[in-house]
Amino acid sequence: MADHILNSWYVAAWSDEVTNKPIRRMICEQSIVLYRISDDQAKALADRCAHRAFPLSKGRMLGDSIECGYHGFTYGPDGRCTKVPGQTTLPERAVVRSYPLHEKDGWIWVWMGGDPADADPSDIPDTHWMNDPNWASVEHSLQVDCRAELVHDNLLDLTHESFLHKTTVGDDYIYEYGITVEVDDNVVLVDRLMPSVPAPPLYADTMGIDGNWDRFHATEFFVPNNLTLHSGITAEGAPREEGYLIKVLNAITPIDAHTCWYYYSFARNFAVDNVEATEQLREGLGLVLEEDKDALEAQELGMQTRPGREFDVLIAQDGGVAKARRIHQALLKKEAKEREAKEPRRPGAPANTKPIGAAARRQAQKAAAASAGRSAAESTTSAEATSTAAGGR
Amino acid sequence: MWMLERANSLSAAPTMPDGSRVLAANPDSAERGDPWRWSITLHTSPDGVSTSVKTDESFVVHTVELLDETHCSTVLTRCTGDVIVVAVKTGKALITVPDGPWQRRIHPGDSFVLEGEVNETIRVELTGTQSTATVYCLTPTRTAALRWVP
Ligand code: FES
Ligand SMILES: [Fe+2]
Repeated sequence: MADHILNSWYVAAWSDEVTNKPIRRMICEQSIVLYRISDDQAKALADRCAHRAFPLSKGRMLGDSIECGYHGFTYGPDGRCTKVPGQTTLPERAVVRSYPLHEKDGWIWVWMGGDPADADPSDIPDTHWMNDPNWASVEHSLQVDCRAELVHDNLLDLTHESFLHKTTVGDDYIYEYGITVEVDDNVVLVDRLMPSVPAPPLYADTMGIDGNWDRFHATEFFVPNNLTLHSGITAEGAPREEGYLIKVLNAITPIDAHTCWYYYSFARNFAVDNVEATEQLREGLGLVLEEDKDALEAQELGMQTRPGREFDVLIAQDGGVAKARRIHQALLKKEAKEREAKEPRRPGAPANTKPIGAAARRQAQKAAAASAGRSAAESTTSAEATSTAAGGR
Repeated sequence: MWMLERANSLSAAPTMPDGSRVLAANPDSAERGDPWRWSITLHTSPDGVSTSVKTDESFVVHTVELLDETHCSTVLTRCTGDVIVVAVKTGKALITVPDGPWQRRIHPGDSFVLEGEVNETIRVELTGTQSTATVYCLTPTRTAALRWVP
């Protein structure tokens, strides 16, 4: 299992994906079942029946409970087993993990950390633009076959727009402008100001503008998983708040070491009621995301086949990327330390893996032989001891 | 281009048992094999706070400007390819760009690195009482520009 930062809220689904029909999501290599109970509250449980590990997402809802589709163990919304077919006594260990869940602005967030007491919804970044009548948004989500960190890097270093998105966004001048990087606690901000440039073609039509503008991009990365891109254009020299503004919310949720979910929302404060513009953007941005997905998956293959002694050649423009990676490492280390403090490793402790079938039989035979050998050795030792003692006298 | 890493940043270098901490360095990550060029360290001891610079002298020369109550502000034009690092030892300083839209207040332990291939001008001004800061200017001897390697 790869290392994942668990003490964080991760986007698990769009609100409208979660209904009273259970669905399965893999997050940080933990399978989770998501569903809604009768008061519309969304719930997240480990997607693994305590009985014999069958996915609960393949079961069915019975009122507010979820019934396992294999042998009928039934669980309440808190993960406790409420019914076992054929007996009235509920096994004490018949409980599945319940994950703290918070629903906000169209996203379902799940706390992956081990201690639910640490799950504070106020740690979730601002996403109100998805749900604000003064903004119109376009959404996409996709599974990308690359490690989550590559998506983070992609969003922190938008110079790739000049090359990768030549035919879509077509911003061929971006890399010519320098960035500023600010790092505070676990947040990295990479800001690029492009004064007096043409409006980006993808938006110029929607905005109904031409001529030169001050353009900016500021990626705010809340390490480990959420990146808000504050971007827009303003009249030359005008304050940013007065511009045509765009907020792109990017929630990157690891599935495993080489795959992630990418939840994307692009909100704008202009042409808010223009349905046609929304559809054009939906299509255009979908293409841009496909270009990113193709590149990221190709890059993942490059990473997997790269010899261990070769490293990225980072340049000044990658300052935000490098700082974010270091924060990621620091968070991983911190969690590993905390875990170790909670459950100190017992060297030589037996693994909790019971062999089955032929392996179990082999182990039983070995154990019998060893125990016979030990008895023989024990008698030899006693005999020697006796004879030595006898000889000594 | 500039980088501002706050003292509380989770990416900041750790403080050593002797109270020293690397504030800024080039390369900033040593493990990838980029050649080392310079580093600036903040030292904290019961006697106070100081900073020091180390450079690969075959590659970089440097100048130091101290700011204190007798000389509390400076306007710096970073020439093409130079790197400027500002470190506050006590109190606080305000960094502004005369014709630009931003300003930042920096404190002890924060690290501010200004670099790039076009000239730019900043103003550093101590604010508050008993503030002190050091400004390092690093110039490459063998290449046109000393680019910061993250
Ligand atoms: S230029 Fe970035 S991967 Fe080649
Ligand atoms: Fe992209």
